[in-house]
Amino acid sequence: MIFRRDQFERLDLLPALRAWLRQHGYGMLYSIGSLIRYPIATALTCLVLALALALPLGLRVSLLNLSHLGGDWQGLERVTVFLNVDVGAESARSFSAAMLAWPEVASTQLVSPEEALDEFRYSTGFGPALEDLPENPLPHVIIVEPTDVSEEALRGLLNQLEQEFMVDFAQADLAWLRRLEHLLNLGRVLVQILSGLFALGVMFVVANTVRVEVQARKDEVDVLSLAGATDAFIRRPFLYTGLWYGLCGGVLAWLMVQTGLWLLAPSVARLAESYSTQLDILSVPFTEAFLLIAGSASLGLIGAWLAVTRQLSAMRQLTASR
Amino acid sequence: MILFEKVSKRYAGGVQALCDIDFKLEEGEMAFLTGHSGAGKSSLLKLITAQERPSRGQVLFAQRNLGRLKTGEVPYLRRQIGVIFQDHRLLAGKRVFDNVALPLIITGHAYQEVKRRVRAALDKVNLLHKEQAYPLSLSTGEQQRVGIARAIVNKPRLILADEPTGNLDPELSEEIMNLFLTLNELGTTVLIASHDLALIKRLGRRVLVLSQGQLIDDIPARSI
Repeated sequence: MIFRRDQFERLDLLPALRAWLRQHGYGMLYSIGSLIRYPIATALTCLVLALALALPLGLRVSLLNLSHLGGDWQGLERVTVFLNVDVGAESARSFSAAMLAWPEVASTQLVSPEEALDEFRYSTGFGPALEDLPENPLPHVIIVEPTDVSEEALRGLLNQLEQEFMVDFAQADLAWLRRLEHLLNLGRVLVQILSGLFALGVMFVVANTVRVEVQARKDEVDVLSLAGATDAFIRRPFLYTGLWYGLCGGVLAWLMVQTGLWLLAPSVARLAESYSTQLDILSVPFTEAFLLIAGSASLGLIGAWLAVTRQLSAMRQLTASR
Repeated sequence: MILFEKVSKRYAGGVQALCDIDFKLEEGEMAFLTGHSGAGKSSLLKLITAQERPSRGQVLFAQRNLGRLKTGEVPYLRRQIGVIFQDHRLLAGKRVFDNVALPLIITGHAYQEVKRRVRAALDKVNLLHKEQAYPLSLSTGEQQRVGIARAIVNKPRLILADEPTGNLDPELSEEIMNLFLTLNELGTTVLIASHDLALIKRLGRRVLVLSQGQLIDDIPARSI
């Protein structure tokens, strides 16, 4: 006599498969039933999970939006070179022309002090006040378009320019964007760390919920075990419970972030309008949503597995020592 | 069917529950296990369901040494044994039908088959009309009968009962015992732990007497 599967299960694969599917169906229905039986507790747990997941997801999507914002500045980079005030128009012109020979320089544009003053007057509305100036305080300015906009090349160009005796100082116009880029990178790392922490949180919330559930069903586990249920059978409904929690939490988090973005969109559009640019706020990208939901479902499953395995072996030891 | 060979059981903490037990229960036999509380009746039953392992000696079920059973094999052993408890251990949150169906759900039977077998089992204990009731709405005797229906629903080779009439009045006890007699007549091996000596005597079946962990008497069945 072998205490393996029943005769029919051992002989035939198809009925065994059907039995296995029915056992899964039972576990699935059972777990759904027990979640529905306490709707408020279930909803609260899902909400906690969703909040824990929505925070890193929200941050991540915001970062994606910001990088999107900073993404298309390649080719717009300019270096503004301020010449010394005492440099005359003739020297400025020849310096500007000479710079064209530099391999780092794609093009130059000379702005005379008069042009600069005009533009300043026009764009600021300081017109009458500027009339009172005894002389034009502005230097000649050369606007340089670099050939290579990488950060290193740019720094080299700036150094080289500042060593020229005619140059007062030079600055890259989009330096702030580069700084933003660095900040975004920092943000990305922070979001990764946060995501890791919150993922652990999600796992432990599910583990704890399932642990309480197993304890509450101790009698049932005992009866099942004596009636010949395998550990896999006993574990299955609890694993499904963890899976459902993870799925619900993930979907809820996605909905939360999506709603948040939807609420933000009009204000962002208005802000962008005031800067006379157009800015489309991104919704949660498909891959991000998919990864979030699949990830939280797996976390729920793992959490449940940890809890139920631990609880069952603790119960066994208790029975064995009685 | 069951063979105990020089079986001793000592629990962690030093309590000697069973000492040098030797007996054999044939296929199709029915026997009572009696003795004072604490004599080792429950321990003996737990050795058969592999809830406990013997400290010494060996327990054989259908020629298999239960002491050497792997953890993964235990469920398949238990599917061949129907267990009945004094406190019947029904799940209060489930209807009678679902309680009885448990052993069949565990083995993954199709719903039609489950329904047929559960009805048949409930019919045997005369509770077919209560299949939609919850256990708490039943009388103690009815609850115990539901427990028996659950134990027999997957047609086990052996039925173990631990004080099945412990909470019942004499009339109900008699009824429950008659149920076991019927099951035995249909071919199932039955082992019942009980200290209801008057009732046991009247039924005239084989009686194993335990005292302080030792088998002190083995009274054969009266010829009927």
